[in-house]
Order: sequence, then C-alpha cells, then structure tokens
Amino acid sequence: MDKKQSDHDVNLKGTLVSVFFVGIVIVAIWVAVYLMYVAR
Amino acid sequence: MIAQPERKIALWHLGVAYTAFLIGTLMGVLQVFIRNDALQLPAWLDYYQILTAHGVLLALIYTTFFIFAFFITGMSKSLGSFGPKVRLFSWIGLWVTLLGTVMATVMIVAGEASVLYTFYAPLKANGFYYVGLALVIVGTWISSFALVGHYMVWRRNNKGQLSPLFAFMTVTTIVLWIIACLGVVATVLFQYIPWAFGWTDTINVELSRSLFWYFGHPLVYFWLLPAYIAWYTIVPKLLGVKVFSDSLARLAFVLFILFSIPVGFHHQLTEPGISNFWKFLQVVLTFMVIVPSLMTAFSMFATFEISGRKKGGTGLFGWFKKLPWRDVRFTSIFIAMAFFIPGGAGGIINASFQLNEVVHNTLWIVGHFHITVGTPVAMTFMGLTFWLIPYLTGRRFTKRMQRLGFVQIITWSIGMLLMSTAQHVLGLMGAPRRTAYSGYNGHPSAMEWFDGIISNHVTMAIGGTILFLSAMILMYIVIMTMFVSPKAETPEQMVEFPLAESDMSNTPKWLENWWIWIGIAAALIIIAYAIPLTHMIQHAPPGSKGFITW
Amino acid sequence: MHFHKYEKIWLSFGIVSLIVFLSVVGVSAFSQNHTPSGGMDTIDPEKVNETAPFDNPGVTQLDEDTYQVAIVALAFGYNAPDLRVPAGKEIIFKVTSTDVVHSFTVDNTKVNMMVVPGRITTKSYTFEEPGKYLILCNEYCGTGHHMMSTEIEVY
Repeated sequence: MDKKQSDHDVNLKGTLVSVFFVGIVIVAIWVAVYLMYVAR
Repeated sequence: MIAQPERKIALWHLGVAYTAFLIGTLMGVLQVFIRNDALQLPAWLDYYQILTAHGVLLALIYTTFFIFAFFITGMSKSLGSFGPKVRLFSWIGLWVTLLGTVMATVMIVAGEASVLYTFYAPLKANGFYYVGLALVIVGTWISSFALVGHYMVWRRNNKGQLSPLFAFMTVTTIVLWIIACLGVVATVLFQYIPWAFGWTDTINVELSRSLFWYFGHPLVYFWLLPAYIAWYTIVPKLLGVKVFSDSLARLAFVLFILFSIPVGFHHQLTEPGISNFWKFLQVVLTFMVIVPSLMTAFSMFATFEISGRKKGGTGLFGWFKKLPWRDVRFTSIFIAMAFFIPGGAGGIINASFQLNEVVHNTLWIVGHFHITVGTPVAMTFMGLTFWLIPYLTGRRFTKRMQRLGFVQIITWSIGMLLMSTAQHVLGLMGAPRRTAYSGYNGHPSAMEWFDGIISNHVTMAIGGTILFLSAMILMYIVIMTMFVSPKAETPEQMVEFPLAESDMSNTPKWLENWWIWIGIAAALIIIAYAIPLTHMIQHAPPGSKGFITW
Repeated sequence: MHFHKYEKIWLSFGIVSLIVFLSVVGVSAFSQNHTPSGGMDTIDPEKVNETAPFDNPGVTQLDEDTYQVAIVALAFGYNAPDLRVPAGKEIIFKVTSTDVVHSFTVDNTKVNMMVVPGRITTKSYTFEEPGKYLILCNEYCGTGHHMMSTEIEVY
C-alpha cells in the first residue's frame, strides 16, 4: 500500500484541530498552575 | 457467543466487582457528608475506616474484578474457548483474590486497618490486612497466568502470526501488572508482614514507601489500559469502522510497558531520602509515558472523523454530528474520554517536579483521580457493563434499560463535574485530602474552604450525592441485566460483543516480541531505581517501630 | 509503521511542549534553588528529642539573612514553640517525626513537605507577606489527623 497515497485519501483536518484543542487545554492549565507556584 | 464456562467465570467476576462497587460508593457518600460536619458517625465507626474501605473497594477491588471479567470475555472471544487448565486457574485466581478481599475488608470493618489503601508505614495494621492484600495480588497473578497460558496456546497453534489486537493488548496489560506487582510484593512479604506479626522490630519506612510507589504508579495504568482497550477495539465497531491503526495501537501499549514503571518517585517528590537527581530523572521518564496517551488521543479523534465522514459528515466538524449519540454504549465512553482531557492535564502538573508542592496531598489530587480512574476508567467500565452483562447472561438490553443507562451516565457526569471541580479548586486553595471534618480552629484560611460556590465542601457534597444516586441506578441496571431482564429469543434481541476489525497487514511482527520489551523495561527500572533504593538500604537510619494511632 | 502527516505534527507539538515544561521546571529548580522539599539527612527516630537541632526546637537565627526553624512532628501536633519569623529573610525549615509519617504544610506558600520518621526534611523558603499562616498536616496519620495544626507568624 502506498503510504503517501493513503494520507491523501483520509481527511483528518478535524482530528488535527481537535487534538490541538486538547494540547491548548494542557498548556493553559500547566501555565496557570506554574504561575500559581511562582506567586507563592 | 463465547463458551458457557467462560461466561460463568466472567459473570462471577462482575458479581464481586459490583458488590464492591455498591459498598464503596456508599462509603463515598458518607464521606462527603462527614467532611461538611453534616453527619456524625456512631462510636464504633470512624471516618478513616470508611475512607480505607472506599479506596480499597473501589480503586482495588471493583477495578480488578471488572478488568478480569472483561479480559476473560474478550480473550475467549478473540482467541477461542479456554482449555480446562485455563478455566481451572481462572477460578482459582478468582477465589484467591476474593479470599484476600474478604480478609482485608474484615480487618477494615473491625477497625484493625485504618491505614488507607496505601497503608504507609509505620502506621501498623493487623498483619492479616497485609496478608489479605498479598492474597489479592497473588490471586491476580494466578488469573493473569491463566490468560497468558491461553494466549500461549493460541501462539503455538498460529506460529508466526500476530495475535488479535484485543489479545495483544490484554497480554501487554498483564505483563505491565506482573512487573509492577514486584515492588508491593517485596515490601509486603519482606517488610510489612514480618513487622506486623512481630518477627522483626522495625521497618525501613522510606524503602517501604518507595517499593509501594514502584507499584502504585503502574497500578493506574493497570486501570487505564483496559479502558484504552475498549477505546481502541470496541468503539470503532460501535462506529462501524475498523481500528484506525493496528500498529500504532500496539506501539502505544508497548510504550506503556516501558515507561509506566520506572516513575514512582513522582508520587514522592516532597519526601526526604531521595536526592533531587533521582527525583528529576524519574520526572523525565514520567513525561515519556505521556506520549502514548497523546497518540491515543489522535487515534480516537481520527476514528471519530473517519466514521463521521463515512456517514456523510462534511466540513471541519460535520462528522461530529454523525456519531451515534443515541447509542449509550458509545456516548458513555465518549464522555469518559472527554473527562480524560483535564484528567491527563492535571497529571502532567502533578508530575512537574516542584509544581507538585502546590498540589501534594490537597483535594486537587482527589479531584485528579476522580477524573481519571473515577470517570474515564469507571465510566468506560459502565459503558461496557451495559452490553457485557446481557451478552454474558443471554438477556436483552431493553429500551428501558438503555434510557436508564443514559440517565445513569448523565447523572454521574453532573455529579463528577461538580464534585471534582470543587475538589480541584479547593486543592489549589490548600484544602487537605484524607481528612475528616475540621474547621482548623476557625482559621481564616480554612474558612475559605467552606465559602463561595465552587470552592466549597458543600458543592463537593452535592456532587457526591448525585454520584451516589447514579451509582444506585447503575446497580439497578446491573441486577436487571444479570437476573431479571427477559432472555433474548431472536438474533436481533441478542446482545453482541462489539469487537472491531483491525488491519494487521502492515504491522511489524517485532512489536509482539515480548522479551525485547520486558528487557528494556527491566533496564529502565534498574536505571531509575537501583542506586536510590540501594542508598536507602545502605544508609538507612534506625527503623521505625509500629504505631497504631487510630 | 505509518504515521499520518497530522499525527507527526501533533506528536511533535506534544513532545516539544513536554520538553519545554521539563526545561522550565528543571532549570528553575536546579539553578534558582527551587527544588522540592527533601534532603538526605537521617536521625534515630527514638532519639529525636536528644538530637540537634531538635533538642532545641523553634527559631534560631543563623546569620543576618538566614533563620533556621527546627520542628518535631508527632501525632497530633507540632513541637515548635514560638513560631515567629521575619519576612524577606531565608527561613530554613528542618522537620522530623517521632512516630508516623506526617506533613508540614504552610498554607499559601511553597512549604508542603513530607515528614518521615528516621529522616529530616529540609526546605528553604522566604516569606514575602507578613501575617499568621495556617500550618496543617495533610498526610493521614491517625484519628487526630484533622486536628493536627498550628500557626506561624511572619512579622
């Protein structure tokens, strides 16, 4: 199976956006608690 | 339909699991009221007994028995019927684990083991508490070896072939579990039991803690991986598609074998006796175990998108609407996955070295594990229960039970959202965990924990009460599908075991080479633990005698 | 093994983020002395009250900018008379236990440590704000655990 071909066949743009949403949640919560730590 | 002997073993496991669930959740609702000074216990019962029972019965017993029920059913379905030896040892495993459970529970009820499920020395419980817990571990090993035996028979009869994905993932989880248990077995057999029965006088406290957490961290992966198995192998079938990537699914599980264990120090970041170097090394290793979960997130969304687009969804998110929301088997697991987003994020913070000082032993930790084992894992188990029990009993999963299932998971979600949000916020404000009601003499800091809408123990209690109601609805569904619902008569009424197909044609065979993975895992464990543990033994202070402070 | 292009992007972002997190906490911990509580000192748990500095618990001034606070934790309280320290100076807490594992936790600060019998936990902290800080035990230690608390005054 041509691997590059199968990448074009399947549209995963929604997946990309969704996982980045998860990533942003992780980063945001981490930064918030980091700032809390620094402030104590 | 799997063979009747396996159905019976699996159903017995589920029966024990849900008995533990019933008692454990009852303990939980008592706890939230006690912590608000809204409930006084009779003299013969103590908060810390109830807390110990809650932890042991839900986090150790409900989980373990459910997991083996799921494994037994799935292994029979994907590899074929068990032989007589596998069946025999599966039963022996069940009985030994159950015996250990009863022994430990009797000790807790008798007030002899108010030491919580982590049983830190030098709190000294009755020796039989430790014997009970040891039997639980031994029982799970017997059940594990039975399943591995079944797998090995399949491998011999299918030389050179990759095993079905469900079986591969089950064996991975078992390998992880066996290696993980070595720590707790070492401390319980060689430290706690001799000390509790008076054969030795003192115990090396820091060593016992470190051996426990060597086990305690991979324990959470023993809980999480069966949920992931459902996410990877069951959910695509519910969506009408294949597994997104057979090889990446196996790779993720292999990474869990490698990186789940040499990381226990991240539960001990504020302790003396472990140098900053070793603590930070294990923090770095902990961060590596995040990667297979990041891979899993991608696989899950990809599976949703592919199935939604197949059903005609267009645009960036049109596929989302096409997901089978009316199927409670799916929706329950989707909600479980959603809770894991903040759950996993919180875990990353907990492991972030000095950031741990903000959250250690606060209610934040309690909030964290309720949105990891308490919902992503537990609600996945609930979503599996809805079809697993009627599948095994040959009964129907009626429309009424399905509707009730929705009520149950939605109430669990609301209850958990309220309770765990309150816990996270209270934890950041410093409220301690594992603590009965206290106003701390009216200190302004403590008064803050009973003030406000979210940052309030009262909100925690409201959430906890709703959770208990949800738990009772689940018990009703369990009893109905086990004993009461009408038997399935026609093929349409029969409940299926929704197992997705997985395309293995591009999966490298070396992924199933267990000895490589076990070898690397062992090397990492030695690197992470050999020197700090040796130091703890060679430079130990005089040990501690036992204390019974309850 | 085939990774979709988007999965490569996602995992790269993820791994880079994790490396950034580790670098931030690692550099800050080791170069700015923000490592979590700990230490490798040991002590005989049965001789705590005869062993320095716990034979004289409480506040001792070490030099112009540094104070040492020695505290003994026990079920269910802290033996540390007269906990008063100045703001803006380095306070070195040294804590041990005569019985079970406790914590020594000063609310609203970075001071949140495990206290293990046989060992001494050391934590250095500088209070910026004067006030009366709640100290409590957040490591379960027995029936009186939730009543184990005291206060430190920062002037």
